[in-house]
Amino acid sequence: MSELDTFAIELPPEAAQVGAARLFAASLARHFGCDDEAVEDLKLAVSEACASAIRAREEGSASGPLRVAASREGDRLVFEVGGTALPPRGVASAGAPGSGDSGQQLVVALGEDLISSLFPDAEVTRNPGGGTDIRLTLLIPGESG
Amino acid sequence: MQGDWAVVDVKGEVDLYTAPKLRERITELVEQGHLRIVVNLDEVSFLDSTGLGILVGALMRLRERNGALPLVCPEGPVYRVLEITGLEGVFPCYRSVDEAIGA
Repeated sequence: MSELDTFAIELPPEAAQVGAARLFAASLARHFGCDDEAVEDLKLAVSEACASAIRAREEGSASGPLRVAASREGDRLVFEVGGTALPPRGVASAGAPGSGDSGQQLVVALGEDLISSLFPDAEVTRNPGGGTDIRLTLLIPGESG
Repeated sequence: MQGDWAVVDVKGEVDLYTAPKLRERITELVEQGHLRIVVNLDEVSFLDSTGLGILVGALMRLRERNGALPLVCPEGPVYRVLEITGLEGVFPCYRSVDEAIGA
C-alpha cells in the first residue's frame, strides 16, 4: 500500500518570503533522500514559481497567501505552487501583461525557460480561484521498483 | 575599485527580494561614471531569473556606452543557471576578479 504524506507551508505573498519557500522545498527533498543536484533544481523552480505567484497577486490574477505544498505519491515527491502567473502548458507566455516593461518581460521569459529546462514534465493548470498551479515531480531515490 | 575597474562583490542568495540591492549598486556605479564593472558572484549560493534579468539589463546599458560587465562565476549552481539559459555565452565569465580584470 503506498503512503500519502502531505506537507504545506503558507506564507505572506511577499518577495521576502521566497527564500523560506525554497528552504521548505529543499529541506523536504533532502529528507526524502534527493541528491544535491535535484535539490538545487527544485530550489530554482520553486523560486521561479513563487516569484510568478507574487507577480500574479500584484497583477490581480490571483490572491491569497503564497502556498507551497508537497505530497509523497509512491516513489515520487510532488511539489505544487498555487496561483502563479505561469502560462498553462501549451500556451505561449504573453509576458508581463500591460506592463510594457521589457526588463520585466525578460525576467518572466527567463523564469519560464528555467522551469521548462529543469522540469520538462512540470504540469501547469488553471486554478479556478485565479492564476495557475504548477506541479513539479521528483523521483525519490531508492523507491522506484 | 581595482584600477579602472569597479568590483561588485555579491554574497548569498540573489532572488526577487535581494536582487534590487544588486541593481541599485550597479546603477549607482554607472551614474558615477564607472563603465567597467566586474560582478563577483564567487560567494553567491543562489541566483534566479530576477538576478539574471538585472545582469542582462546592466550589460545592455554598459554596452551602449562601450562599457563592460564581466562576471566572476566559477563552476557551480550559479554558472549552471547561466548555462541553462544560454547566457554563459553572453557574459564573459572568469574564475577570479584578477582574471576578469586582466583579460
